[in-house]
Amino acid sequence: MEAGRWARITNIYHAAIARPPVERVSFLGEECDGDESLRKQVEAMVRSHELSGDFIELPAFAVAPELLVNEPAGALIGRSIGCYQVESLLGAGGMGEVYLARDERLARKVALKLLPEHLTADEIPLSRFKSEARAASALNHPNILTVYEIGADGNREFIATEFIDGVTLHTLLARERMNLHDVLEVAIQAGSALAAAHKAGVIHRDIKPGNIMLRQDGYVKVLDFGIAKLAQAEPAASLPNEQRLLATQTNFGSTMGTLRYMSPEQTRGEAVDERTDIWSFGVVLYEMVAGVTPFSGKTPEEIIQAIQQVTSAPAVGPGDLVPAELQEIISKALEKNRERRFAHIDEMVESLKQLRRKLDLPRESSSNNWLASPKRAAAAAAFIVLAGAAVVFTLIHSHALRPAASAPKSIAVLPLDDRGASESDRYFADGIQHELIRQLSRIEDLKVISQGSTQRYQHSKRNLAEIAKQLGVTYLLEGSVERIGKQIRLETHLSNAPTQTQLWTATYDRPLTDIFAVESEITTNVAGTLKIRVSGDDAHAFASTPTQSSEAHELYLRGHYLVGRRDEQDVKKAIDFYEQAIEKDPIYALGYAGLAEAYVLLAAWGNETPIQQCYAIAKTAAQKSVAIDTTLPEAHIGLAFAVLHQARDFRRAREELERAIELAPNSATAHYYLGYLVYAAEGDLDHAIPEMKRAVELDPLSPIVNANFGLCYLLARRYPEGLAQLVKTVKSDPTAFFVYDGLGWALALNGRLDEAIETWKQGYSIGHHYHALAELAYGYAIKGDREQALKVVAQLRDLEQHGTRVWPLGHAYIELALGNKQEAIAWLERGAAENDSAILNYIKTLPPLDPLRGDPRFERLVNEIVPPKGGG
Amino acid sequence: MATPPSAQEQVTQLLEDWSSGDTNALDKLIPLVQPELHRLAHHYMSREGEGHTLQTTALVNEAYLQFAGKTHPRWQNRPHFFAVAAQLMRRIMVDHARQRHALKRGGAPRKVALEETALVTETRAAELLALDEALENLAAFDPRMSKIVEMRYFGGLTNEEIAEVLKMHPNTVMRDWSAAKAWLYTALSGEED
Repeated sequence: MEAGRWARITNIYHAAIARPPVERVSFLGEECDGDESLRKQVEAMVRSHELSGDFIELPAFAVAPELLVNEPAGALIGRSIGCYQVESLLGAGGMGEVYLARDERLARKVALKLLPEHLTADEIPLSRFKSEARAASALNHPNILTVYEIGADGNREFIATEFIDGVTLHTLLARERMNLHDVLEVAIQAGSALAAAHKAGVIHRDIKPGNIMLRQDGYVKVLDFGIAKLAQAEPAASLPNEQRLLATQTNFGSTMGTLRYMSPEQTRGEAVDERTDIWSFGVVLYEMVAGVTPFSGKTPEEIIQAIQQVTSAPAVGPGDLVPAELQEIISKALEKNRERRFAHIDEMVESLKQLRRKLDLPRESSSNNWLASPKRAAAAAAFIVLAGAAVVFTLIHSHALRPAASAPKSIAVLPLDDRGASESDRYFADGIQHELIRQLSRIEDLKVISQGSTQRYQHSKRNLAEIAKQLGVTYLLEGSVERIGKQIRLETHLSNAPTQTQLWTATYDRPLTDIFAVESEITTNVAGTLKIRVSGDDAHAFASTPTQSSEAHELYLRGHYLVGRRDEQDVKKAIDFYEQAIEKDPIYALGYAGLAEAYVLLAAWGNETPIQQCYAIAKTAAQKSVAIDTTLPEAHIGLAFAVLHQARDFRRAREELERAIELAPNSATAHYYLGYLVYAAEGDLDHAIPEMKRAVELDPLSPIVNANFGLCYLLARRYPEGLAQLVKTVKSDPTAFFVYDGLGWALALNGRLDEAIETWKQGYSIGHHYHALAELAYGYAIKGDREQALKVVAQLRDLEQHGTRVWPLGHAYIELALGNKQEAIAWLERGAAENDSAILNYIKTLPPLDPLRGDPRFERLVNEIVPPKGGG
Repeated sequence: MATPPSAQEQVTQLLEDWSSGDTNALDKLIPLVQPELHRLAHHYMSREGEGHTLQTTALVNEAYLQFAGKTHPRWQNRPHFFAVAAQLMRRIMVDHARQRHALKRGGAPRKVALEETALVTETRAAELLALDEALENLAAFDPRMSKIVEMRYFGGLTNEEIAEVLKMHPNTVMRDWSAAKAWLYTALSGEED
């Protein structure tokens, strides 16, 4: 275009747009003066001026930043990355592109995620990301996306994961509203994934609907563990403060969407922990219910302000039917102050499960057809198993089956009547009872009483209603077993004790070798009769056979029976049986778990085998057991005990016990160890007491669990409650001599020293045990009766001369009471060097050691034994 | 002192060279600045979807601070840097748009698309290429106006900043922008003769 003409065009254009629109046409006619081409050009520009709106008003990089990104999305289709042949683009976002690819070696589909180069340039975040992604994947959790490989092809880092045929929750939410059933289903599955990850020390950091996938078959998968960590690059130091925070937190590609799921602490750039994920999970839960996120705004700053300051409106669902409990769960997750949120995600998941149980929602047919719960399918399959068996069973009073509204169902399996078997054959009936309890204990929705608490109902005339009351249960399973050669006959009855109605009864006549199948059928029938949900994993566990060798099983049962008698010589005999069982079947996981437990007990109250040797053998056995069958709760319990006492690895012990509880929610032992040996030892009595409470509910008649529950109150300085619990315990079983030890402490700490001394004397008169003497010496010393105290100490020395294991903790508090501070610390140091379990358990909290607290030498020792904050 | 110049020093030197008329300097600059622009672009993408009300010049601002402001006291002339950055941005974005466009024509068809990002991107790529071409045409008879669009659209500069670089009155920049926008819109809607 000629310059003069262009100048003319622009001049007329400017003049025209300066006029009101109605005048413009006539103005152009005049100005162009018959130059039709000129008039048309200017007219087009004037019209464009009116129409163009925000055309090119925003900078290109704001409109299309993806055009600045290295490689265009989809560029890799048809190429090979590592050993993967890239087939198509599944999606593209700030965190890289995801392709559908084919693993040529294994001929399987994979999802291949290519990480943006700038994120992988820095070695340190990259390796952190890799270790987290691997850690999460290694959990092998059904709701965590499996990572096949984290690799590199040239400079290009990639992650190959399982390919999910499904949609993201983000897509689903964009498409439709979810019904309450599906909301809970997705939340419980995704929450379980997070719980498992948290237990492994992995924080997700970027929980949002885009990272939750819904598979066609009903499984929910959480993706991208650790990826957010990769994106935590350094923000430009030059940015103003607020923007720096934005830059740190919203860095790279995690879209603005991510910001809405971010916790207040993340928006402030503070350190994250599991409660950060709980917040984000709460936002997701809110969005599933309400269809919108709770904190919104037009700009990042507005969203951040809402997150930090605005209390979210209650989530309103379709039809406004959001249960109050769900609102509460959401509100608790969305507490601005993380101290006030759920401390752990499994508490939140547990609340969701409780709600689901309470609501007992029917599966609504949802339009997306995303659900055909695989777990329920597996449970149904387990019920079908019984159809082919030679079982005679009748279902009585089916009308009585309607479950009570909300109280969790509870059952005790009473000792089976062994029809006149000799004492030496008792182990067999005991073993079947044990196995039934073990299986039922895995069911989360059922409270199951431990075997120990049922034993006093052996051979006794039974008043079922009274037994149920004492054990705190509604349902009782009883029965009889008879062995005739290679055949067994097993009869079982399930009844509702308070209403005295029989619900189910069955008789099995089977070859002895079918014992596992029979046990599994009984468990399945009990669950079915009580209308209790059995998860797929549990159904699988019921159906599996612990060993193919019936000989090995017999030996195991004999061992188990002897261990139950809790006597050093019996435990040693039990060890022999377990070792023989393992010899018969070297992959008998339960056999190894039994061996581990036996050595743990030997360390706790044996005198002959060195403690360290016991722990070492227990640990090896437990590790073998876990290696063979990772789903065996006993194996995890054994391992927890061994790592705690051998390596003072509190963290690992806690993880193992939590895993055990996950596998067998009714394991009194696991709750007891977690509360007493882990939390109480760490001084975390707020957590210890609820665990102990649960242990007492599951094993209500165990004097040791009851006594140590009382002790926990004493350690928490809640002396009156401790005293009440210990008085109750002694009343319940006055023959249990060790309970007097605890009662004496409770009296002493409540200022009743004379009664305490009498109680310890009484305990000694029953048990003639060393511990009572140590306590008695302490009592005299603290009272000021030095002469008596030293006399008792001489008695202790005498017992030690004759083979009783020296108890450094006892010597320590006696010396302290006698005013010998340094000697007391020396005893504690000696015990610590020997890994004495009592010192490990009590050094942090035992009241009689209080005069030492604050002493640098003592505090150093405490920190060495129980690392602060419960680390490992 | 025989130590090789740091990347930032190199960038600063090249910017100076370029501003004093060395056109080759731009070619050397691009590979040095590109990674940082990529990083910043990702940063920008993270805010996508919430409107673009966040400072529109933030991207170039950050690049400026990264490369010039801190290291080289003589490079305190922000608008001048912005003008250079705008040219760089244009070059980089158009190159990418071209790659993408080629891909769309020649690449394999997509089976599944979870996100619509890719589709939108291709539309944008095509639009950007058309705009670039129109801007070239405009430069043929009004280089200053083309420059103004480049600085504003690719560099995110404000009219005031452009006025400072080009030593013009801001009102004149506004006038030019209005005409350029109208002309480009016309050209791209195919209404021009």
